[in-house]
Amino acid sequence: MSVSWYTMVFKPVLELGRQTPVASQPSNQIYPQPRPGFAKQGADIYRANGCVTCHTQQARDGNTSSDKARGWGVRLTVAQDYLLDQPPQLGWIRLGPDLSNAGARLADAKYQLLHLYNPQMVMKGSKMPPYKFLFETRKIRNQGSSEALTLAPEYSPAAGYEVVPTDNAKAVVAYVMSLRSDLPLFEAPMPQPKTNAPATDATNNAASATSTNSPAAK
Amino acid sequence: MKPDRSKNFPVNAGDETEPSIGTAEMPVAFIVILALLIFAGGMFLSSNGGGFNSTVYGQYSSTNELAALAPQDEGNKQFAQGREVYGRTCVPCHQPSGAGVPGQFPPLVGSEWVQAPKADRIARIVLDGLQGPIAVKGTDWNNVMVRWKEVLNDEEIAAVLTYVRNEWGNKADAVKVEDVKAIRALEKDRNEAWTSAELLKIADQ
Amino acid sequence: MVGASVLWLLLGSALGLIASVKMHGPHFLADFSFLTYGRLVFAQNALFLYGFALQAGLAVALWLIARLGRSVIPNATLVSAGAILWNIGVLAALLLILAGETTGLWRLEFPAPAAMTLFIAFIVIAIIALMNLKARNVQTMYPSLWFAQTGLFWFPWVFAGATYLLLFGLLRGSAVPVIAGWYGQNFVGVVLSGFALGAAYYFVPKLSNQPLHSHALAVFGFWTVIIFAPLGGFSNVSAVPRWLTGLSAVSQWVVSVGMLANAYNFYCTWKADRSASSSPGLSYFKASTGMLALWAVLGAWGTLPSNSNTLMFTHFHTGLSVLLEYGFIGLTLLGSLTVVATTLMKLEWPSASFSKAHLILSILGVAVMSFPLCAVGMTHGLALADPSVPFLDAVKRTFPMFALTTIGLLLFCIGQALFLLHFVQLAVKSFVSCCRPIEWITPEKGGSK
Repeated sequence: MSVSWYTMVFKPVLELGRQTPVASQPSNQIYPQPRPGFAKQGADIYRANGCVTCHTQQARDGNTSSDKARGWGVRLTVAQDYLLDQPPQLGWIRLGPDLSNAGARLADAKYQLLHLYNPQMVMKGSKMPPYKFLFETRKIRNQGSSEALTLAPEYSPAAGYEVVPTDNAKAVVAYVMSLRSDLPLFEAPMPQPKTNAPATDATNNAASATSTNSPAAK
Repeated sequence: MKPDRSKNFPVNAGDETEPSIGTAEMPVAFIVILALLIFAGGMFLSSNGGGFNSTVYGQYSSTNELAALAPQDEGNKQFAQGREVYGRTCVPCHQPSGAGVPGQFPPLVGSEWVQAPKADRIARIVLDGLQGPIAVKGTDWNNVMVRWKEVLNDEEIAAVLTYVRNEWGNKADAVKVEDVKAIRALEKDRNEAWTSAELLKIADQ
Repeated sequence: MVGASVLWLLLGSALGLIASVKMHGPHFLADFSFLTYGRLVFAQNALFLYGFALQAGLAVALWLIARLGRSVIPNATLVSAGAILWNIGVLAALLLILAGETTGLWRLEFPAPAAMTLFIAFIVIAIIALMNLKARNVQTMYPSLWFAQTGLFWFPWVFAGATYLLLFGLLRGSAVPVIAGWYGQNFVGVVLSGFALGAAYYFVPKLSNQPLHSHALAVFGFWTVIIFAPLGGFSNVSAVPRWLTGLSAVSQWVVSVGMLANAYNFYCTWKADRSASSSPGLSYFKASTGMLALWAVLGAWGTLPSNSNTLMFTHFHTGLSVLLEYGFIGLTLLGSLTVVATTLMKLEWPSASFSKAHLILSILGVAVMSFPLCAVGMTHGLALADPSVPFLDAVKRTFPMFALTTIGLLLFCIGQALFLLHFVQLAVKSFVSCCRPIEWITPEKGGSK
């Protein structure tokens, strides 16, 4: 018992529990940065609704998995990435795509809100449940809300009504968009070419990361 | 499994005798397997345990291996810094992909301006901005780019130029901080954005 | 306590069933926030682990201690109070999870208020159980008691440690997954498995009217599990230091050997019984021993370096934990409850067909739930590993097998509903006949609402 206590609690708490934000080496940027307040609220919505039961937030290295090729992450994720999350939502099964670097590839809030309202609208056959309870269907007043979702006719509410995201919906989208793990760390290097000219490897990453801007491709 | 059908599913109720313990020897196989496993486990951990160091993750096997992969030479550092500057400065117009926005902001990918042998022209664009018509990759564009003189220092401008000249398949030499510094000094009195015509007068070599 | 635990099991499984159906038709019941898939999965897990498994495990441990020590529980009222408190804690946990107050940590899903209630309830019951163990009238400790005692000591330690560190937010985020993983592994791998092993060590020889095959094997099985199981549990995580995953793999191999030793011990014990008159209750234990052996083999296979990467984040690990939690722990405890209930009430089960139906539905349900998941894990993993397969296709490929899991869960659910009904019948019968005072468990049924 004490063996386990020492190895599995004491050592990790001392070594991982004392981590502090570090400067990501090439760019000297402090990492991780605290999430913006709205995204922090979104983390609570994410936790409360058990998003973690389908989505992982841990990317593995490109050499040992397809995570990089799928555009899920540009490097493997490590404890440092979760430093400021309370609690981190690592997840254990991929019934939905990995979200560890979602902010980099799903940068379109409109798309995300539509997807959250009803995944079928943007990705036919998706197994994700619709989160309609994070939206409000209400009578259109004046010109209607500027935030109302643009819905195809078959998904639209009754005439004279519009679907508006609640703060919770907007917060959880802000949270997902704040998920980034694309700064290199000592323990999770992003392999780069040795010369300064042809950034072939990095180029491919960036190209695949950007070409996956449309999540439907995943 | 032979359920006694004589009575209703009797499960031994009321029987007060307790089981005793047999003294059968343990098969030696278990001990042998355990010993082998502990040996194999030790071997396994020596190559897959990362030296019990909590900074070793994934497929890496030691901190030495990581240290070798850490960015060292200047070029890499500059490129990475440029990526970061690009991300916070240029993305809104030129997009993360560097493809720009059709009809509004010209692409950097494959642009002859970006990949010119020397960065004299684009360094000026970043410093003082650009206005009016400009031809990029055979298409005419007409918009305004703001100046970054006051926002970015020479090191950052050199880094971001190096970055856009080598990202997305672009290929051109890195830009030195001294070059940017020199251009800034040369054009320190300029107070308006460049036009394409003015830039083309500046020697490309 | 028996009734309550089965009630929770049923409720938990029913929630699981809804969640499982959702996987096939995502729109099913989607408009209620408290019935969204993520909350249901957490609720199902918490109800199974805390409502059923730990509660039933405690009940069986109490019973074993009293029975094997030939002593009477000193303070039955306190035990009942503890049981009632425990069930309040489980109810609180359920409501908090559905209300969106989950911690998001697997196997420690509920926030601090529910955790504290559960902790106090456990302490009360555990202290009485340990006092009873100390006051036993039989000096030698039968192997069952080793496991029961370990579980009683172990749970407060790990639960208090994890609750303190995790639920009060004392840890930086980077250490949280490690502590949560450590807790989950100790809870299921040592405490629950320990209670189940203890029960099996008693009921297998008892129901087959044979002496336990080997004392030495039991010692071996006990120590390998107790020493190595707490070091595991990180084979399905990537973002932890490498030594943790490496150590997990090694510990899984050793635990597998230990569990196989236990299974072998059980097998030799019932094998020695040549008469055809063994109790039908033994079938539960035969099935659960089989599940245990399968879990040990698959668990070791899955952590081999060549497989672990492919199987990471797939259905395989879900299948594996269903195999251990529902297959071994669940079936063992259900079998124990079947026997304990009749013994306590000095009555046989009223309906043989009900009993048989429960036996068959439980075993079949668990098998149909877990085997396909384990099998499809490889498909899932290989599809995920191949970037040319679109992600949605990779998930869809697993669905034919996943449908079987839903069916298995449905069977399991029906089985438990029957069991509950049957149990109520038995209790009523016992109450009506009321020929003898029913020793100490009757008041505890107050806990079953």
